[in-house]
Amino acid sequence: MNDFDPQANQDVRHMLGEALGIARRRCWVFIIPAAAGALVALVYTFTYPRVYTARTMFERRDSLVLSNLIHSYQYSPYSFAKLQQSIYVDLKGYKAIERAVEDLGLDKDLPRDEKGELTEAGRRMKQAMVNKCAGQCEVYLQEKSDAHDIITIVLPSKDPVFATELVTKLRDNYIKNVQERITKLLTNAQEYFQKELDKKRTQVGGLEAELVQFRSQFVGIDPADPEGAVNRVAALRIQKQNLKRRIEELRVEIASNEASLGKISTATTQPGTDDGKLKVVSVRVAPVPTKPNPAHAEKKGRILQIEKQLLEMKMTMTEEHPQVRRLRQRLAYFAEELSRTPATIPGPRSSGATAERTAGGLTPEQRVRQHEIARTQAALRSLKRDIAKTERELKAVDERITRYDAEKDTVLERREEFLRRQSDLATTRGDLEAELKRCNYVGQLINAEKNKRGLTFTVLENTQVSTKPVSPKVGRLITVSLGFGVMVGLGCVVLLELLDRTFRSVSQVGSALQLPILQSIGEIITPELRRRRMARQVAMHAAATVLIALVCAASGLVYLSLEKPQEFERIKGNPGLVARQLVGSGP
Amino acid sequence: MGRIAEALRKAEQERTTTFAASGAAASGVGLMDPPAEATGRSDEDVARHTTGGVAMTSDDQVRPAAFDHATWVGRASASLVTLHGRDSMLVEQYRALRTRLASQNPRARSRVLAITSSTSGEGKTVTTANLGVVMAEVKHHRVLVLDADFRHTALARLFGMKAKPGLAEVLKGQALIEQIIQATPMSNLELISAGDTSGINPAELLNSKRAAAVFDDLRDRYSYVLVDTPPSSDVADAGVLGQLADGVVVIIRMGKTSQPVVKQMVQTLQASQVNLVGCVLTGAADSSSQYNYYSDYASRPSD
Repeated sequence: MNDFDPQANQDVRHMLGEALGIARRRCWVFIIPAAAGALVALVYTFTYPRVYTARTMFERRDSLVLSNLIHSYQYSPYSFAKLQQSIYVDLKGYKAIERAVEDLGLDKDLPRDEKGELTEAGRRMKQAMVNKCAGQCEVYLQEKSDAHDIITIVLPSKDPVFATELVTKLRDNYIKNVQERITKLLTNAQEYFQKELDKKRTQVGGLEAELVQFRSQFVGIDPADPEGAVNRVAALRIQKQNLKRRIEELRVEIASNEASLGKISTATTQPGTDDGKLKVVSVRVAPVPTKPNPAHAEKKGRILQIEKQLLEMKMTMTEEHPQVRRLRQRLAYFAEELSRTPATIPGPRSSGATAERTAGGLTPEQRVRQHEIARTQAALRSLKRDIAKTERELKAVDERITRYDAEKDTVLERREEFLRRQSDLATTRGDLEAELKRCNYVGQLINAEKNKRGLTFTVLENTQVSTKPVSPKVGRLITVSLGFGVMVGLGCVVLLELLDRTFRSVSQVGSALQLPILQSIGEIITPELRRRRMARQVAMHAAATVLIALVCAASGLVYLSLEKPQEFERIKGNPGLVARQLVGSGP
Repeated sequence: MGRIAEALRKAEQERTTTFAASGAAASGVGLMDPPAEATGRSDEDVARHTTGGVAMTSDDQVRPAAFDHATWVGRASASLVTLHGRDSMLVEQYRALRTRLASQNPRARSRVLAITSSTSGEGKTVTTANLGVVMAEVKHHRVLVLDADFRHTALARLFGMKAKPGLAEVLKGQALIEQIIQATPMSNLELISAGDTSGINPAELLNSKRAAAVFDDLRDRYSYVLVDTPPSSDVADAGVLGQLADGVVVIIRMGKTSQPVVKQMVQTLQASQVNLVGCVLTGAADSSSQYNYYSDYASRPSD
């Protein structure tokens, strides 16, 4: 743990001693050149070009209504955010500055060929000029709001007039360009949306025509409700069964009537006739009176009502929906009930029919039988007509069932297409509405722009040049000058130390000459020597004082030239007056 | 501050007392035994020696100093800190240099020391003068400071003494050596200035046999002869003087002397078979830190 190195400590002390010795011995060698160097550097700084800044401030503002309108519509082509994003390029981009340079005619002195075009060297010089301006130009946004912004353009330059003209031109060009661009943008947007609107209208017309054609292709069938067709087939099948049952009932009734007719005919044969045969007497039998079955009508009405409900539900629900399924069950139930319920019921017998009539001298019983025969025959004829009618109906139902069965698959296939076209139509109609809104919106914007209620620019601060140079910085300049002086002083000290071949220490003499050192004798300070030294010290102090005073004065002038140029120009114009003022302001 | 001022004052008093008692024996203070011939010589001994054929007689004895110590201090340069005693720390540094020289020369074989540097302005003359003063503080030493820098004579002016006659006159045969030796208020410290250097060729004079004889004579006369020489990188006099002397001390000014120049000078002197005693670093900025304690110690009154 014993890190102490006596030798190293001694070396450090020796080096420090040497350094202190050099500092003491060469103090004037340092001070005088350092002050002179600083003075020279400060004087040189007066030749350093001063950089001024030209600055302008303007405001971009939009009306609140317009801003809200823009924000409310996400597809707006007129976006302040886009303006803000491109503001740096629009203001200090290469093209913007190149255009300003051309507008100001700053490139007129560049080398050109016979045609007046810039030569290669001229293009390069112009490019360098524009790049330099672009690199130096600064744009600051203060508000950074979409609808309102305060824009400041700052351009540092050694030539204030040039900077002022360029900044003003950049600002004016930007305002002009933005307004032109907005107008062009809105016009293009309106044209585009109008084209889109026409296109959507054409699409809607085409889709509507296709749907009409589709419906006309499948008359009586709602392509949108294929399940309804199936139900309808089922109902027809039930109806067919009912008709068949009806036919069987009619046939049974016919058979019954024919049997009763045969009995009646046998019973009405008269025994007193010659041939002993029964004389058949045609008896007009009155038809059995019937009336519509109210239960049948009621059930049929219920079925129609349920089918209507099903059709309505199919517009919004699928077959799997509980309500639809419940309705289907009810429909099947009523259809079955309907099939069991006869369409007609026997009506009340008329009083004339019961009156016994005599004919040909028949007995009342015979007349009754004849009447029965006639009635039964009439019933038979009626039944046969009913059978024929029912069989026709059955045949028609069979045809419809066959046709439905044949078209059912086709309808199902077309259903998707139909629905897709319906959806396309709805979408296209929505797009059409949107395009209409856009057209109206852009129209409003164009009107606002025309009425000067859109984007407005206001110059808040005209182009002004800074009252004092922004570069070089006074602190940095003075520091660098003083640092240069210090470096000069140190350089002189180091140079003299390097060139110094004299002996400086006893050990140096001993090692160089290999002779014994008898004694080291100090300096004998005689009064003459003391006087000389004193005079030298006074001269050095005086020189250093004068030089430091000059350095301070030069620093002050540098400060004035950078921080108070007007004051500096006044002093430069009349140094005698300032000297008299200084003397006068003294004690 | 009061204690330091008091210590300085007491040190000054002690030095004054020491100068007043010049000539007295300083037993126990000496760092080495001086050569017997350098002390208490008889006139006959002196007469046996000839300097360039000029006989030394009793009439040619060195005359005593013409001014007292206080006058001397007033006339001497402020750089002569060991004489003024202003900066006790510097004085102690020169005394330490004296001790180092004595310890490197235990048998006093190198009594003539040429003090040189690579370039001018490094402190040769000042070091020579101050070293001469602190060496003369040892009572049994006889010390001579000799200005052999004919191109930039400054030693006599530093001591506030006459610039003529000097070594040039002796080497030219125009004067006896005793006639050019200048006594100082310190009894065991004497000075020979460069003399009249106009129209002379220093290299020729220093390479003459007379010069060698003069240096031999001075080596016999004094415990230490400190020779101020011209910069060795400018002229070749330093190399000649180094060969005439017993050793050479190189002055290096910190922060001024260029390393390659010093190295070149050292290599040249070593190639000339010169005895390089060592180097003295002047203008050391950080030397004060290691002498803080000693400066305080040196300022205390001696017990």
